[in-house]
Amino acid sequence: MSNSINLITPQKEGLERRQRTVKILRIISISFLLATFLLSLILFIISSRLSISDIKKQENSASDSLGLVHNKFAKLILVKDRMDNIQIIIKQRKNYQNLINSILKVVPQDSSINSLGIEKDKITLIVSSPSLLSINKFLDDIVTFSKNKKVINNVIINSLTVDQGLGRYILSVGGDIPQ
Amino acid sequence: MNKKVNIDLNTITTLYQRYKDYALPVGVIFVCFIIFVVLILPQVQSLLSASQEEKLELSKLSVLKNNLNIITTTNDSFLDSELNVLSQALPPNKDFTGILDAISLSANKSGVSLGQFEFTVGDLSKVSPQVRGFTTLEIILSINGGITGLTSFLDQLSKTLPLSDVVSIQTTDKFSTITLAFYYKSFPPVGSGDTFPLVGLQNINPSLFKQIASWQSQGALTPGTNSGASSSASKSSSF
Repeated sequence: MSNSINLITPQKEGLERRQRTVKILRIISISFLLATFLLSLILFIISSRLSISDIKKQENSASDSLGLVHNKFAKLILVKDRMDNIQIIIKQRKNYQNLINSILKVVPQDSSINSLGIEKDKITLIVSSPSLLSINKFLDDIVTFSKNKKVINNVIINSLTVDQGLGRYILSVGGDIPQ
Repeated sequence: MNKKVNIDLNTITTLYQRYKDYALPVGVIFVCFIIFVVLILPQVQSLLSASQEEKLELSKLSVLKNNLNIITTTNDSFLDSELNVLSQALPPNKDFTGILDAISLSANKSGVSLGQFEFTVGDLSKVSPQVRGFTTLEIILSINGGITGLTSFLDQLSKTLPLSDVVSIQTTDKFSTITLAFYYKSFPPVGSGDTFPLVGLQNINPSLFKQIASWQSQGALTPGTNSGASSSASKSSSF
């Protein structure tokens, strides 16, 4: 039996291919048509829903109403401004009372503070005592403050002298006040 | 090499007859493509920008409505009293009377007597000294009291209006000299910008306001409390 017999003529084959191509083209064109129609419809719906002029009308009306109470509006802004600034000031300002009280607590009973100076976050202290042991204890406590970075930082002993007339040791120390 | 191509009606008719099945779908695809490029794409772009504009306008409207709501629900007299208290705490200009009242009241409460005090107003043409970014009016004050009196005075002063800060302290066992900086700040310009979002009074730090109001009520001077005011006041500069 011969296998080379071809009942479909080449002309018929070409016609079938052509019909297939036309079919595909038609499907694509219909898809394009539908997509264009749908997109146009969606755009129309979206654009009809956008109503900026309406919003602007409402804005103008609200703005007019606010214009009538502008005085109150200004007062509210001023209150907010004062409050914000006051909050910053209270947060930032130094509480030197606590610092001085903390130092007073560590001054031994037989000792006294001759002078205390605070300027630009620096503190200087002059303490006098009849006992060198008390001076030593005071210094220890101040150094502990410095180590804990509380009250005073970077303690420096400026001088330690003896007033023989009064019979007292006079210690001068300085340091930084922590920020 | 020039090759002449003759296209006559006959040729066109033949070509059409041969490819007429393709003509309609290709034509439709072409027209759809043109519509997409010429009409739909620009429309999409304009819609996007319009939608952004709408969002912006809506947020503006929301701010305006919120502002209107806040203003209508705010009690005017309460607003006035709040602004008054806060302006005492942080005056819009140099409040000499308030400062002298605060000093004498603090001295009275802490049981110290005042020595000389001196305002350092400085050159009026120049900017006032600033402490932590705020304009201040400095005053140098002598107190007849040692460290205990000084701490008590400072404690009272920290709870008195107008708000102040300590610039420097020099104290011995009997006398103290302190430099105080009293804060003040001018009011900001309030334009007609309705779209500036307001905050309701109940949301502006009510606890801080209570604290300041309590300081103000403590500081209300009653006749006869002004003991330190008899101290001699000297001014370093004319004001």
